[in-house]
Amino acid sequence: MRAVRLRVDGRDNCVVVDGVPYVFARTATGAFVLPSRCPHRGGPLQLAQLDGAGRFLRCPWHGRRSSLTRFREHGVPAVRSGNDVVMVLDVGDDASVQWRHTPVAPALRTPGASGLPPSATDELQPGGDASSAASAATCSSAQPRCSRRAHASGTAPVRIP
Amino acid sequence: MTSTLPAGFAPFVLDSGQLRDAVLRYASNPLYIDGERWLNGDNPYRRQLLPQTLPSFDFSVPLRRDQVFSAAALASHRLLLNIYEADLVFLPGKGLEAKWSDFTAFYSSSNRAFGEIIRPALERHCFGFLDDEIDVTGDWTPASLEAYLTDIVRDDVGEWGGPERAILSSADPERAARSWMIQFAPDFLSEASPMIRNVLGNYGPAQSEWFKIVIDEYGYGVHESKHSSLFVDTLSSLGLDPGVHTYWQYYLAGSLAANNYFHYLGKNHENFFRYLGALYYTECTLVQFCARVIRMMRQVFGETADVRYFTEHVHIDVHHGRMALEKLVLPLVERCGDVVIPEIVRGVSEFRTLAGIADVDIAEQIRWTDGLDAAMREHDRLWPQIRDGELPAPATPLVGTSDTVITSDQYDTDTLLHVTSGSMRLIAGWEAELPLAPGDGVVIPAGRLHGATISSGDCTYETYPVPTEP
Repeated sequence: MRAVRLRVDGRDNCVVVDGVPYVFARTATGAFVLPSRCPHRGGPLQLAQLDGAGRFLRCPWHGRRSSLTRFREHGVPAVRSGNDVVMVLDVGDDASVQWRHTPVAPALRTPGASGLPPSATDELQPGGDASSAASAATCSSAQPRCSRRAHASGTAPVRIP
Repeated sequence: MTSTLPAGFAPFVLDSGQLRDAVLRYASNPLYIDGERWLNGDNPYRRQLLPQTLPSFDFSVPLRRDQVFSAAALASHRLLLNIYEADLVFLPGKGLEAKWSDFTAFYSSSNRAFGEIIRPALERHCFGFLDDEIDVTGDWTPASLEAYLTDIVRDDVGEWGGPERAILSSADPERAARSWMIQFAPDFLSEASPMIRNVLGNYGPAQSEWFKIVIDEYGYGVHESKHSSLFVDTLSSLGLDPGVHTYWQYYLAGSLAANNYFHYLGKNHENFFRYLGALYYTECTLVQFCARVIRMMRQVFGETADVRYFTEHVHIDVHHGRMALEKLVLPLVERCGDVVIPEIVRGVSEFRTLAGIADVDIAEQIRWTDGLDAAMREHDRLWPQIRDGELPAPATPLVGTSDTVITSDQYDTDTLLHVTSGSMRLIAGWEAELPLAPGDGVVIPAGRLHGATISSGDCTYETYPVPTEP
């Protein structure tokens, strides 16, 4: 067992462990670590659409569906605190670990009630490998991005100092 | 098979108006009104709550992450601390003759009942943001839990934290270090009291293992060895009063949050497993933390500071961290099942978050107290623009009468304070006071604790929210 860290947004939001890429995702039904290579033909699940009333991911390559419940309840154990994630993988200390940035579909970046603000640097743009670029075009127009939560700036009650 | 709740059983929830009324009823206890002296001295029952400000808050909704240093956060954590500590016994050092009515009022059934009515909502208000700040997901097993717990305490390698850096770079490191020690008084002077809430009942061998930790905390019945006694000596060696809540007015919202969190977990046994996680993390990281504090204290005070409280923890928490993992966490997971693991993980992460917030709060407060001259200059820069109407800032005229104490509080926006007549002493922290005469003023940053004493005659002053830069 080995604890591995990654970020929700921005730089290092993807960690590749022994060749398997992982990102942290969050939808209206909860958060989970997503092994982002589709088991069918290796499609980029981090760019998937939600399907079935938000219960499944649909791979952008061939449409294979993956259950979100499985990721949440039977997936990689992890804890997110703010923008930081620690997950525990069943690998040894000699596993290869590399970090990188990867675009993540808006559907997988749902903020919590108090907001999990998407990073301004994490816009969906073609980048990395060709498959990501091709899929990004599809995902980016499917759902609007969540805007950064505006900080309340109402006038505070003035009290005796 | 379906199950239905008995008729009439429903979650206990107060709506916003009911909650506000209930909070005001609790805070109307004469113990909680503004005091006549700045320090509370030898009276552990007097705890200023600024009841006159409480109607402006909506305690029915959780604070957001960006509101942890708000006036509402300070007010609600002060309320919560009082409610929790009605379960603990405090006696003044110099007798109860003159304080009998305060003693009975603090421990009265009314004070406790009124507090219990508002406690769940206040806890949600204060700690609800952690639900969004933290996610725990996936299929946790004892092996993955152990890997996580082992990893999470590796971060702490003994480098200076935010408070130590603020102290060592302060214009007055001794003042800054004393200010930090004051922040620990709510926790260390009644040390392990929240923990004891968890050793009652009957849950097998782990209960007795936890009791061993409690026995260590309480010095095996030798009062001089009790950890709180060691901290009394630390405070005394720094020239500080070791009375419980003497320094109530100096407690920061972040410090109160970190302290109250353990009461919150211990008071609500549905959070029992979160407490296990927070306990493990605390015991493990206290070793490095206390080693850093010793280095800092030696650097600032030389050999005059009594650091036995911290040297004790450098030693004993090596054992407590191991005991927490091997004798408490893992056996209780084996007994109760993997279902409890996400709660343990959440407890670790929640306390880490709150400890980080407390560190930022004291570091910022030290910088604010160091920068009072600059805060006056900022007033001098802005005041002509406000006076001449160039900046749209509505004034709030206020009057303080002679020899009164203005209980510490904080603003949610940067605020300019301008004295028009009389004089006051603005108090920004321990031994950080600023005399203000007519025409003087200061810009108080949002979220920074401050209070005042009125030093001559009636003092009239105005406050203006400082317009934010475009």
